[in-house]
Amino acid sequence: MSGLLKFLIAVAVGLAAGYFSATYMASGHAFSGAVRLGAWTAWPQSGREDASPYSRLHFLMRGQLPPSHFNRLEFEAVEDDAGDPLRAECTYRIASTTLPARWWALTLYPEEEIRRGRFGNVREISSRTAILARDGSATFSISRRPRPGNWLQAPPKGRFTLVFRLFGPTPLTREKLLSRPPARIIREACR
Amino acid sequence: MMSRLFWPGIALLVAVIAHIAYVLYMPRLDMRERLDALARLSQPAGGFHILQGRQTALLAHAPLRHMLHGVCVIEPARGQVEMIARLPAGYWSLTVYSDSGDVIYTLNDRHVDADRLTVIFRMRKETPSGLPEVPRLREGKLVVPLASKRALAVLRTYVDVPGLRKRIFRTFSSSTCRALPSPVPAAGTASGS
Repeated sequence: MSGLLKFLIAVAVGLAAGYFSATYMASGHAFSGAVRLGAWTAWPQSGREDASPYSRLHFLMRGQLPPSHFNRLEFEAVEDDAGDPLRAECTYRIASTTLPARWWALTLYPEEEIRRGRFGNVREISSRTAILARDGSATFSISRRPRPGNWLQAPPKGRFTLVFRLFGPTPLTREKLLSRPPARIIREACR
Repeated sequence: MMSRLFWPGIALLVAVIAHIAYVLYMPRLDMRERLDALARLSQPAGGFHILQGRQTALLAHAPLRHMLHGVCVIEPARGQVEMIARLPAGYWSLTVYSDSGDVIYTLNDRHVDADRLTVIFRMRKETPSGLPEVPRLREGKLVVPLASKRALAVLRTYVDVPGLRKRIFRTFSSSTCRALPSPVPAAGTASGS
Protein backbone atom coordinates (compact mmCIF):
# COMPACT_ATOMS: atom_id res chain seq x y z
CA MET A 1 0.00 0.00 0.00
CA SER A 2 1.38 3.38 -0.89
CA GLY A 3 2.35 5.86 1.82
CA LEU A 4 -0.26 8.38 0.63
CA LEU A 5 -3.06 5.85 0.91
CA LYS A 6 -1.94 4.87 4.43
CA PHE A 7 -1.83 8.53 5.38
CA LEU A 8 -5.36 9.15 4.04
CA ILE A 9 -6.70 6.10 5.88
CA ALA A 10 -5.00 7.17 9.12
CA VAL A 11 -6.47 10.69 8.80
CA ALA A 12 -9.97 9.37 7.99
CA VAL A 13 -9.88 6.94 10.90
CA GLY A 14 -8.56 9.67 13.21
CA LEU A 15 -11.24 12.18 12.16
CA ALA A 16 -14.01 9.64 12.64
CA ALA A 17 -12.64 8.56 16.03
CA GLY A 18 -12.30 12.20 17.14
CA TYR A 19 -15.86 13.03 16.10
CA PHE A 20 -17.47 9.93 17.63
CA SER A 21 -15.52 10.18 20.88
CA ALA A 22 -16.60 13.85 21.23
CA THR A 23 -20.28 13.06 20.62
CA TYR A 24 -20.03 10.06 22.95
CA MET A 25 -18.72 12.24 25.77
CA ALA A 26 -21.31 14.94 25.03
CA SER A 27 -24.09 12.41 25.52
CA GLY A 28 -23.28 12.35 29.23
CA HIS A 29 -20.84 9.53 29.91
CA ALA A 30 -18.27 9.34 32.70
CA PHE A 31 -15.84 12.28 33.06
CA SER A 32 -17.98 14.46 30.80
CA GLY A 33 -19.31 16.67 33.60
CA ALA A 34 -22.75 15.05 33.54
CA VAL A 35 -24.35 13.54 36.63
CA ARG A 36 -26.29 10.32 36.44
CA LEU A 37 -29.15 9.95 38.94
CA GLY A 38 -31.13 6.76 38.42
CA ALA A 39 -32.49 6.91 34.89
CA TRP A 40 -31.88 10.66 34.68
CA THR A 41 -28.89 12.61 33.40
CA ALA A 42 -28.21 16.20 34.42
CA TRP A 43 -25.50 18.75 33.59
CA PRO A 44 -25.31 20.69 36.85
CA GLN A 45 -22.67 23.19 35.70
CA SER A 46 -24.36 24.03 32.39
CA GLY A 47 -23.97 27.57 31.17
CA ARG A 48 -21.03 28.39 33.43
CA GLU A 49 -17.86 29.68 31.83
CA ASP A 50 -15.89 27.02 33.73
CA ALA A 51 -18.34 24.24 32.84
CA SER A 52 -17.06 21.14 31.11
CA PRO A 53 -16.78 21.82 27.35
CA TYR A 54 -18.84 18.67 26.81
CA SER A 55 -21.72 20.33 28.64
CA ARG A 56 -21.79 23.20 26.12
CA LEU A 57 -21.43 20.76 23.24
CA HIS A 58 -24.21 18.55 24.63
CA PHE A 59 -26.81 21.30 24.57
CA LEU A 60 -25.74 23.00 21.36
CA MET A 61 -25.55 19.66 19.51
CA ARG A 62 -29.18 19.19 20.46
CA GLY A 63 -29.98 22.66 19.17
CA GLN A 64 -30.48 24.21 22.56
CA LEU A 65 -28.77 27.02 24.43
CA PRO A 66 -27.32 25.71 27.68
CA PRO A 67 -29.71 26.42 30.54
CA SER A 68 -28.32 28.67 33.23
CA HIS A 69 -27.50 26.47 36.22
CA PHE A 70 -28.61 29.40 38.33
CA ASN A 71 -32.16 29.49 36.95
CA ARG A 72 -32.96 25.88 36.28
CA LEU A 73 -31.87 22.30 36.45
CA GLU A 74 -32.71 19.91 33.65
CA PHE A 75 -32.93 16.16 33.99
CA GLU A 76 -33.30 14.00 30.92
CA ALA A 77 -34.26 10.33 30.69
CA VAL A 78 -34.32 8.05 27.67
CA GLU A 79 -34.73 4.85 29.64
CA ASP A 80 -36.61 3.56 32.69
CA ASP A 81 -35.15 2.59 36.07
CA ALA A 82 -34.44 -0.91 34.80
CA GLY A 83 -32.35 0.48 31.95
CA ASP A 84 -34.80 -0.30 29.12
CA PRO A 85 -35.58 2.39 26.54
CA LEU A 86 -38.80 4.39 27.02
CA ARG A 87 -41.22 2.98 24.46
CA ALA A 88 -44.63 4.15 23.28
CA GLU A 89 -46.25 0.72 23.61
CA CYS A 90 -45.51 0.54 27.34
CA THR A 91 -47.23 2.10 30.32
CA TYR A 92 -45.06 3.88 32.88
CA ARG A 93 -45.53 5.26 36.34
CA ILE A 94 -43.35 8.23 37.25
CA ALA A 95 -43.12 8.83 40.97
CA SER A 96 -41.51 12.14 41.83
CA THR A 97 -40.13 13.07 45.20
CA THR A 98 -40.90 16.39 46.86
CA LEU A 99 -39.02 18.77 44.62
CA PRO A 100 -37.46 21.77 46.34
CA ALA A 101 -37.81 24.12 43.41
CA ARG A 102 -40.08 27.09 42.82
CA TRP A 103 -41.85 25.20 40.09
CA TRP A 104 -41.19 22.41 37.64
CA ALA A 105 -42.38 20.99 34.34
CA LEU A 106 -42.24 17.43 33.03
CA THR A 107 -42.26 17.18 29.25
CA LEU A 108 -42.45 14.18 26.93
CA TYR A 109 -40.79 14.43 23.52
CA PRO A 110 -41.39 11.66 20.97
CA GLU A 111 -38.11 10.60 19.36
CA GLU A 112 -39.63 11.16 15.93
CA GLU A 113 -40.44 14.79 16.71
CA ILE A 114 -36.98 15.43 18.20
CA ARG A 115 -35.40 14.02 15.04
CA ARG A 116 -37.53 16.17 12.74
CA GLY A 117 -37.31 19.22 15.00
CA ARG A 118 -41.06 19.67 14.73
CA PHE A 119 -43.19 19.49 17.79
CA GLY A 120 -46.86 18.95 17.29
CA ASN A 121 -48.67 18.39 20.50
CA VAL A 122 -46.02 18.74 23.21
CA ARG A 123 -47.07 16.73 26.26
CA GLU A 124 -46.30 18.67 29.37
CA ILE A 125 -47.39 18.91 33.00
CA SER A 126 -46.17 21.60 35.33
CA SER A 127 -46.35 21.91 39.12
CA ARG A 128 -49.10 24.48 38.56
CA THR A 129 -51.33 22.06 36.68
CA ALA A 130 -50.40 18.73 38.29
CA ILE A 131 -52.28 17.05 41.09
CA LEU A 132 -49.82 16.99 44.00
CA ALA A 133 -49.75 14.95 47.18
CA ARG A 134 -49.74 16.79 50.51
CA ASP A 135 -45.95 16.56 50.74
CA GLY A 136 -45.56 18.06 47.26
CA SER A 137 -44.65 14.79 45.53
CA ALA A 138 -46.51 13.68 42.42
CA THR A 139 -47.24 10.54 40.45
CA PHE A 140 -47.70 10.55 36.68
CA SER A 141 -48.86 7.95 34.20
CA ILE A 142 -47.54 7.69 30.69
CA SER A 143 -49.65 5.62 28.34
CA ARG A 144 -51.38 5.86 25.00
CA ARG A 145 -54.80 5.62 26.62
CA PRO A 146 -56.04 8.24 29.09
CA ARG A 147 -55.62 7.52 32.77
CA PRO A 148 -56.96 9.27 35.84
CA GLY A 149 -54.70 11.73 37.64
CA ASN A 150 -51.57 13.21 36.10
CA TRP A 151 -51.40 11.71 32.64
CA LEU A 152 -48.98 12.29 29.77
CA GLN A 153 -50.00 10.79 26.47
CA ALA A 154 -47.43 8.45 24.94
CA PRO A 155 -46.81 8.90 21.21
CA PRO A 156 -48.47 6.42 18.81
CA LYS A 157 -45.19 4.60 18.23
CA GLY A 158 -41.43 4.69 18.76
CA ARG A 159 -39.32 5.79 21.67
CA PHE A 160 -39.54 8.97 23.64
CA THR A 161 -37.53 11.21 25.97
CA LEU A 162 -38.61 12.73 29.25
CA VAL A 163 -37.26 16.09 30.41
CA PHE A 164 -37.81 17.26 33.95
CA ARG A 165 -37.06 20.98 34.35
CA LEU A 166 -36.85 22.50 37.78
CA PHE A 167 -36.90 26.27 38.01
CA GLY A 168 -35.43 28.58 40.61
CA PRO A 169 -33.37 26.18 42.70
CA THR A 170 -31.32 27.85 45.43
CA PRO A 171 -27.69 26.75 46.01
CA LEU A 172 -28.87 24.66 48.97
CA THR A 173 -31.74 23.01 47.15
CA ARG A 174 -29.51 22.35 44.13
CA GLU A 175 -27.32 20.17 46.32
CA LYS A 176 -30.38 18.29 47.48
CA LEU A 177 -31.76 17.94 43.96
CA LEU A 178 -28.46 16.57 42.71
CA SER A 179 -28.19 13.98 45.44
CA ARG A 180 -31.06 11.76 44.30
CA PRO A 181 -33.16 11.13 41.19
CA PRO A 182 -36.02 13.62 40.77
CA ALA A 183 -38.38 10.74 40.04
CA ARG A 184 -38.52 6.99 39.57
CA ILE A 185 -39.55 5.66 36.19
CA ILE A 186 -41.30 2.33 36.58
CA ARG A 187 -42.49 0.32 33.62
CA GLU A 188 -45.85 -1.29 34.36
CA ALA A 189 -46.82 -3.16 31.20
CA CYS A 190 -46.14 -3.36 27.49
CA ARG A 191 -48.46 -4.34 24.65
CA MET B 1 7.99 -2.50 15.77
CA MET B 2 8.18 1.30 15.44
CA SER B 3 7.10 1.20 11.81
CA ARG B 4 4.04 -0.89 12.73
CA LEU B 5 2.96 1.72 15.28
CA PHE B 6 3.60 4.72 13.03
CA TRP B 7 0.26 4.88 11.17
CA PRO B 8 -1.90 3.97 14.22
CA GLY B 9 0.03 6.73 16.02
CA ILE B 10 -0.83 9.22 13.26
CA ALA B 11 -4.49 8.14 13.44
CA LEU B 12 -4.47 8.61 17.22
CA LEU B 13 -2.91 12.06 16.92
CA VAL B 14 -5.50 13.12 14.33
CA ALA B 15 -8.26 11.71 16.59
CA VAL B 16 -7.06 13.77 19.57
CA ILE B 17 -6.82 16.95 17.46
CA ALA B 18 -10.24 16.34 15.87
CA HIS B 19 -11.79 15.64 19.28
CA ILE B 20 -10.44 18.84 20.84
CA ALA B 21 -11.26 20.95 17.79
CA TYR B 22 -14.81 19.64 17.64
CA VAL B 23 -15.46 20.12 21.36
CA LEU B 24 -14.00 23.62 21.47
CA TYR B 25 -14.99 25.12 18.13
CA MET B 26 -18.28 23.46 17.22
CA PRO B 27 -20.28 25.27 19.95
CA ARG B 28 -18.71 28.57 18.85
CA LEU B 29 -19.67 28.00 15.20
CA ASP B 30 -23.14 26.86 16.18
CA MET B 31 -23.63 29.92 18.36
CA ARG B 32 -22.42 32.22 15.57
CA GLU B 33 -24.99 30.77 13.17
CA ARG B 34 -27.68 31.06 15.79
CA LEU B 35 -26.83 34.71 16.49
CA ASP B 36 -26.83 35.47 12.74
CA ALA B 37 -30.27 33.90 12.35
CA LEU B 38 -31.67 35.73 15.38
CA ALA B 39 -30.17 39.02 14.21
CA ARG B 40 -31.85 38.53 10.82
CA LEU B 41 -35.19 37.90 12.54
CA SER B 42 -35.08 41.18 14.42
CA GLN B 43 -33.77 43.12 11.41
CA PRO B 44 -36.94 44.80 10.07
CA ALA B 45 -37.95 46.21 13.46
CA GLY B 46 -34.52 46.03 15.08
CA GLY B 47 -34.04 45.29 18.72
CA PHE B 48 -36.32 43.09 20.76
CA HIS B 49 -38.06 40.20 19.08
CA ILE B 50 -40.49 37.64 20.44
CA LEU B 51 -39.96 34.19 19.00
CA GLN B 52 -43.05 32.50 17.67
CA GLY B 53 -43.73 29.05 16.28
CA ARG B 54 -40.73 27.42 14.68
CA GLN B 55 -38.50 30.42 15.47
CA THR B 56 -38.33 29.04 19.01
CA ALA B 57 -36.15 26.23 17.65
CA LEU B 58 -33.31 28.76 17.45
CA LEU B 59 -33.15 28.67 21.24
CA ALA B 60 -34.52 25.30 22.21
CA HIS B 61 -34.74 22.25 20.03
CA ALA B 62 -37.13 20.67 22.49
CA PRO B 63 -39.05 23.69 23.76
CA LEU B 64 -41.30 24.01 26.75
CA ARG B 65 -44.82 24.31 25.48
CA HIS B 66 -45.83 27.35 27.49
CA MET B 67 -42.54 29.25 27.54
CA LEU B 68 -42.47 32.63 25.83
CA HIS B 69 -39.04 33.82 24.61
CA GLY B 70 -37.98 37.35 23.68
CA VAL B 71 -34.49 37.95 22.31
CA CYS B 72 -32.13 40.80 21.60
CA VAL B 73 -28.85 40.36 19.74
CA ILE B 74 -26.28 42.70 21.26
CA GLU B 75 -23.14 43.97 19.56
CA PRO B 76 -21.36 45.96 22.26
CA ALA B 77 -18.33 46.42 20.01
CA ARG B 78 -20.47 48.86 17.98
CA GLY B 79 -21.56 50.85 21.02
CA GLN B 80 -23.75 50.61 24.09
CA VAL B 81 -27.11 48.87 23.85
CA GLU B 82 -30.06 49.67 26.08
CA MET B 83 -32.66 47.05 26.77
CA ILE B 84 -35.89 48.01 28.50
CA ALA B 85 -37.59 44.82 29.59
CA ARG B 86 -41.28 44.99 30.43
CA LEU B 87 -41.79 42.30 32.98
CA PRO B 88 -44.92 40.29 33.61
CA ALA B 89 -46.12 39.37 37.07
CA GLY B 90 -44.89 35.93 38.09
CA TYR B 91 -41.90 34.01 36.86
CA TRP B 92 -39.51 35.49 34.30
CA SER B 93 -35.79 35.25 33.70
CA LEU B 94 -33.24 37.27 31.77
CA THR B 95 -30.17 35.37 30.60
CA VAL B 96 -27.28 36.84 28.63
CA TYR B 97 -25.21 34.44 26.52
CA SER B 98 -21.74 35.11 25.13
CA ASP B 99 -20.92 34.29 21.50
CA SER B 100 -19.53 30.96 22.66
CA GLY B 101 -22.76 29.92 24.38
CA ASP B 102 -21.74 30.59 27.98
CA VAL B 103 -24.12 32.30 30.36
CA ILE B 104 -22.58 35.68 31.19
CA TYR B 105 -25.31 36.98 33.39
CA THR B 106 -28.72 35.92 34.59
CA LEU B 107 -31.41 37.09 36.94
CA ASN B 108 -35.06 36.36 37.55
CA ASP B 109 -38.18 37.79 39.15
CA ARG B 110 -36.87 37.02 42.64
CA HIS B 111 -34.13 39.61 42.15
CA VAL B 112 -36.11 42.47 40.65
CA ASP B 113 -39.35 43.62 42.21
CA ALA B 114 -40.53 45.85 39.37
CA ASP B 115 -42.49 45.68 36.16
CA ARG B 116 -39.68 47.24 34.15
CA LEU B 117 -35.95 46.70 34.04
CA THR B 118 -33.42 48.80 32.15
CA VAL B 119 -30.16 47.11 31.24
CA ILE B 120 -27.21 48.78 29.55
CA PHE B 121 -24.83 46.44 27.74
CA ARG B 122 -21.36 47.69 26.88
CA MET B 123 -17.87 46.36 26.27
CA ARG B 124 -15.94 45.46 29.38
CA LYS B 125 -13.29 47.99 30.39
CA GLU B 126 -10.00 47.50 32.16
CA THR B 127 -10.27 48.14 35.88
CA PRO B 128 -7.43 49.64 37.95
CA SER B 129 -7.35 46.49 40.11
CA GLY B 130 -7.01 44.27 37.06
CA LEU B 131 -10.09 42.28 38.09
CA PRO B 132 -12.86 41.86 35.51
CA GLU B 133 -15.67 44.40 35.71
CA VAL B 134 -18.87 43.04 37.19
CA PRO B 135 -22.49 44.05 36.48
CA ARG B 136 -23.77 46.78 38.80
CA LEU B 137 -26.64 49.17 39.27
CA ARG B 138 -26.07 52.76 38.20
CA GLU B 139 -28.83 55.39 38.37
CA GLY B 140 -31.47 52.69 38.49
CA LYS B 141 -30.07 50.95 35.41
CA LEU B 142 -28.27 47.66 35.44
CA VAL B 143 -24.95 47.96 33.60
CA VAL B 144 -23.67 44.66 32.22
CA PRO B 145 -20.10 44.73 30.84
CA LEU B 146 -19.45 42.16 28.12
CA ALA B 147 -16.17 40.66 27.03
CA SER B 148 -17.49 39.11 23.80
CA LYS B 149 -18.12 41.13 20.64
CA ARG B 150 -21.62 39.74 20.32
CA ALA B 151 -24.04 38.47 22.90
CA LEU B 152 -27.63 37.34 23.15
CA ALA B 153 -30.10 38.47 25.79
CA VAL B 154 -33.02 36.09 26.28
CA LEU B 155 -36.06 37.10 28.27
CA ARG B 156 -38.27 34.15 29.22
CA THR B 157 -41.58 33.75 30.93
CA TYR B 158 -43.88 30.79 31.45
CA VAL B 159 -47.58 31.17 30.70
CA ASP B 160 -49.59 28.04 31.26
CA VAL B 161 -52.86 29.88 31.84
CA PRO B 162 -54.31 30.40 28.33
CA GLY B 163 -56.33 33.45 29.40
CA LEU B 164 -53.19 35.30 30.45
CA ARG B 165 -51.13 34.56 27.36
CA LYS B 166 -52.38 37.52 25.29
CA ARG B 167 -51.82 39.98 28.11
CA ILE B 168 -48.36 38.72 28.92
CA PHE B 169 -47.47 38.67 25.22
CA ARG B 170 -48.50 42.35 25.00
CA THR B 171 -46.40 43.23 28.06
CA PHE B 172 -43.42 41.33 26.70
CA SER B 173 -43.66 42.79 23.21
CA SER B 174 -43.51 46.34 24.53
CA SER B 175 -39.92 45.63 25.61
CA THR B 176 -37.29 47.42 23.55
CA CYS B 177 -33.67 47.02 22.68
CA ARG B 178 -31.75 49.79 20.93
CA ALA B 179 -28.24 51.04 20.31
CA LEU B 180 -27.49 54.14 22.32
CA PRO B 181 -25.97 57.11 20.50
CA SER B 182 -22.23 57.43 21.10
CA PRO B 183 -21.34 60.04 23.69
CA VAL B 184 -20.51 63.42 22.16
CA PRO B 185 -16.78 64.08 22.53
CA ALA B 186 -15.77 67.01 24.73
CA ALA B 187 -15.34 70.32 22.83
CA GLY B 188 -11.61 70.64 23.58
CA THR B 189 -10.74 67.19 22.28
CA ALA B 190 -12.95 67.46 19.19
CA SER B 191 -11.56 70.76 17.91
CA GLY B 192 -7.92 69.73 18.20
CA SER B 193 -7.83 67.58 15.05
